[in-house]
Amino acid sequence: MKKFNKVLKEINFTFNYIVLFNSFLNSFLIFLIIYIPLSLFSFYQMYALVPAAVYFVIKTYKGIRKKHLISIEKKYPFLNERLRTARDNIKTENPVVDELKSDIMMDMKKVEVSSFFNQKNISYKILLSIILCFLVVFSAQFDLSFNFKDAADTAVDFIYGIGDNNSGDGKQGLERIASSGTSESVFGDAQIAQMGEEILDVVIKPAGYEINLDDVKETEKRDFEELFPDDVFIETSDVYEEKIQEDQQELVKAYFLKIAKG
Amino acid sequence: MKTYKETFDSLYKEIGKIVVGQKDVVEQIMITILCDANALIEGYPGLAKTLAIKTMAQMMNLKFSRIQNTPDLMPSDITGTYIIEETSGKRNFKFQPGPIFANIVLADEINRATPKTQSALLEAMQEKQVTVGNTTFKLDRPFFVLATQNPIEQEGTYPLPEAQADRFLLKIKIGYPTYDEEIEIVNKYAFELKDPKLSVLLDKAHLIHMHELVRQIPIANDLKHRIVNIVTETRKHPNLIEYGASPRASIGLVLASKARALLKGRNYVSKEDIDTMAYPILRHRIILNFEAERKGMSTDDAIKEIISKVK
Repeated sequence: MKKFNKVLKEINFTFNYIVLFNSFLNSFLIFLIIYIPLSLFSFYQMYALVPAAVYFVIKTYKGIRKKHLISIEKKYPFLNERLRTARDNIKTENPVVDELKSDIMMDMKKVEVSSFFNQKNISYKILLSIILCFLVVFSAQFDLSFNFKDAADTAVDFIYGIGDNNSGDGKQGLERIASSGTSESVFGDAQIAQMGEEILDVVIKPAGYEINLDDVKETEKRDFEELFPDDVFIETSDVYEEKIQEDQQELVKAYFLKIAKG
Repeated sequence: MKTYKETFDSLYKEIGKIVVGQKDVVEQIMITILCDANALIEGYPGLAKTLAIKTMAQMMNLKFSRIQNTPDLMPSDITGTYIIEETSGKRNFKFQPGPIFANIVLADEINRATPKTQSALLEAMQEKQVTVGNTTFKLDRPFFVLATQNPIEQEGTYPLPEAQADRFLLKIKIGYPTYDEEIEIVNKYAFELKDPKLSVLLDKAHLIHMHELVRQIPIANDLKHRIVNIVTETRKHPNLIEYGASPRASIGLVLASKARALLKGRNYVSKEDIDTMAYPILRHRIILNFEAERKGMSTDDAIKEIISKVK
């Protein structure tokens, strides 16, 4: 009864496939569900892979170990006890067992693989996955994140603001935080903000460029005078020398020395 | 398998012409016959025990004999004995076969026979042969002993020891018919004299073939475990059962379940077969303790409790 062997192998293969699909879908959902809060609270998002992977391994292992024939028998009562009996007597050959096997093979044609997929459940899971994927994309697009440290500082400030009514500036709570000018997370970096309406002309050069090895030549030996640009020169300081007459310069020097000593 | 089911359905129908109701009893007797085993039938007098067996033997074209057990019945009355025969002036010993030389033997009220006579009968049941003097005689196949027991009037009886009772595959209990069945019985036997004609549906060859077929019926491994669990569970309830069933009960339960499957036209054993057959298989193999008896429990109640505990 090689045909019956084939039927059993096909059943196992199909059920393993179903188990893998369900495990993967559930694991993906778990990953997304954990990924989003991790991302929002500025944790390392890939930590979400750990529970998803653990779930996938356990669920797949359990699913593959599960007795698939019993699942078929539960779904199709006309196969109840027959499938198991035929499987357990696969090596037995007598007219009764052969008849049982051929009966089962006929009845197996009525078994639909789709009946083992909970379509409603799977649809909901896929829909939920899509929604969660969009959430991930949007949160990345708008850089939505919640910093615990800042939140804690803000909370402390907020509580402090409520508690201390005589802070001096007459402002309280959120009003105080908003006008303090120190909340960089809200208003951005102070140095950048000070630029006001000035236009910053920035040219960003391309990071990569090609190097042609043919253009590389021996370095030329040049004199310093030749290399140094003309507009760069050393000028002696004449802050006061140019304004004081030469004959009086010695006098002024002596005056300053005297002050320094005194 | 469908052909067999049709045959058995026709058999029930034919028996129904003579025996009203008692479908379970007929089914269990048939299971005993299919397993090539023997059964102990217990019921009050007048419940058609003898009639059912006689009718079945008639329908299967089997040689039927009846032994009415009494305390003065001797083993030779069952097995047969050597008699002196005189032919042409010479005297020879000739073996005169007893009622045991039949296909279906009804041992009525077996508990009235002495242990010695009971042993002779049980040996024939077990070995399917009879030894008289120095000669062993093989019994004709198929061979079944259906022994009856009366649960009342226990005075002056010799109840079968447990070891002897264990040799019977089933202990079949016959209950009273329902009200409607009793009305039908009255109509059938109080107004007519003629016995209805019965057709022969099975013969010896068929039965011997069926004995092989029963053993070929497959059983799932988890159901085999269920059978062994049920039987071993009878040994694990000292609060209820004093003595549990032997491994012979496990073998019997597998066989009886297979035979029931064949009767139902199935080519596999079902859990339902096991749970149904557990009662007649175990009820004479377990002995309740005093506490259980004090509570008014029957062996069937104990079996029910055990079955409910086994997964």
